[in-house]
Amino acid sequence: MNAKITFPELVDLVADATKSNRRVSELFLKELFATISQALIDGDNVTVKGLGTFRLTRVAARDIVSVNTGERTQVPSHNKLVFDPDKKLADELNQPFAQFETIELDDDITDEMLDAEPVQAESSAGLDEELETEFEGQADVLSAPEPEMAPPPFKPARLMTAAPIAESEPVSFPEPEPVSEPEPEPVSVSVSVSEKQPIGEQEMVHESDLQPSEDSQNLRRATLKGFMMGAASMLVLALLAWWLAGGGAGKVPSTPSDGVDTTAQQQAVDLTAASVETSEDAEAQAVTSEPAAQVTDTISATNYLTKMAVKHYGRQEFWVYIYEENKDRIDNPNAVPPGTVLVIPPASKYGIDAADKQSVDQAKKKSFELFSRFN
Amino acid sequence: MDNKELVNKISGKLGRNKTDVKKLLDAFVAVVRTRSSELDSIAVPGFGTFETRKRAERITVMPSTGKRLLVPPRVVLSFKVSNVLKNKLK
Repeated sequence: MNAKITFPELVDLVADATKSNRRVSELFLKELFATISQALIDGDNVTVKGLGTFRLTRVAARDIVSVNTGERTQVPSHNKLVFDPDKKLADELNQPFAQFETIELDDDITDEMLDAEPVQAESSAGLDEELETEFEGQADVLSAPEPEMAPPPFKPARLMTAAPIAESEPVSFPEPEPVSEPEPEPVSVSVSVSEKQPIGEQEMVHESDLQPSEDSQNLRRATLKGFMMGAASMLVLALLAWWLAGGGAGKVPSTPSDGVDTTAQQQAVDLTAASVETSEDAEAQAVTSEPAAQVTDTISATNYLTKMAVKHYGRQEFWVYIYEENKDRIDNPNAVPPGTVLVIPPASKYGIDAADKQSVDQAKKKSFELFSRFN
Repeated sequence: MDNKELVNKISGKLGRNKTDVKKLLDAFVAVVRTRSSELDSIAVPGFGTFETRKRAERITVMPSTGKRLLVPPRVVLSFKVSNVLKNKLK
């Protein structure tokens, strides 16, 4: 892994592979590179079967400006060596990422969502590890008595900085599906459940796809190691924000078991909802005109207003309407105690439409009003 | 110069028969292949370095249609030419 193989090591490796002695392999390798170099100097392209092609391209002369002095100098025209790897070799090396395909982005993805894109890929790619660290982190935070756990007058500045981070997380699926879910019909239970299921499935597919060879797993680990650090630190921040919020509201005497309880509850809700799905699904079409059954969702460390909005309406901006619907249960939208069961209003009630820019803007405007009231 | 020509040239210079040279060349390619897939880099003095790199995902715009595309990440074998050879080729 990431080792640098020197020339003597390469000689040994080739000698071992051909069961010949070191001298033969060394002479051969020296001659090989000398021959390729000479051919390139003579202006010839060299193709090595199974490895690739070495070729020369002409680079035109260009002016450069020194950043320090502002002086203009000209880089003369010169040859550049280009190496094109053999197609089969390239595919073999790219095997860990082979399941990804180029996707066309929808027109209604805004620039602001694209800015959040790199973060999304990271956090969703390392999702399994993230979940682990999350629970470890949660246990840590809960068990360690925090000195700065001062009740009510919580620090708005702290929450303000934490909030954007928390908000950028809900969008954390590389598939542009949160956006491509404009739901014209009123949302009913089955919709929310069937939306939830695919997301989980897709993640599972990703993981199982990556499983087959241990090499690919290793590779993935290595390339993601850097991301993990970033994702982990973000998570700690988000957890801290949640903790402050939960403690600030002074509603939950959080004990370690509390966190587990809410997640267990959440799972229970998921399970029951999933079991109802099949029967509800068939009815859903027929019942559209009737008042749809109430959709509810439970607040937890990983499931908060904006995240619910993404799940149910496709965009985080619509969290304001979930708040609106549950005003009597929420004192402060920045600090909803985990375990709170919220009613998710049908999209039609507030004219929610993720594909409609006006609807999104309206929600944004509303959220600014709320922010100014609570921060 | 293709693979066959390369083998011929080397075998002529080394005075070894072509099958031996072919075997050695195949072994070298196999070594590069296995080591690159383990993300190792192979440095050859005076020639260059073979390295496996990860290219990050990116968004491009298709000029003909103006559609934006999300290009997935890739692992590629890159070759960085050594300064000695680079200057000789100039």
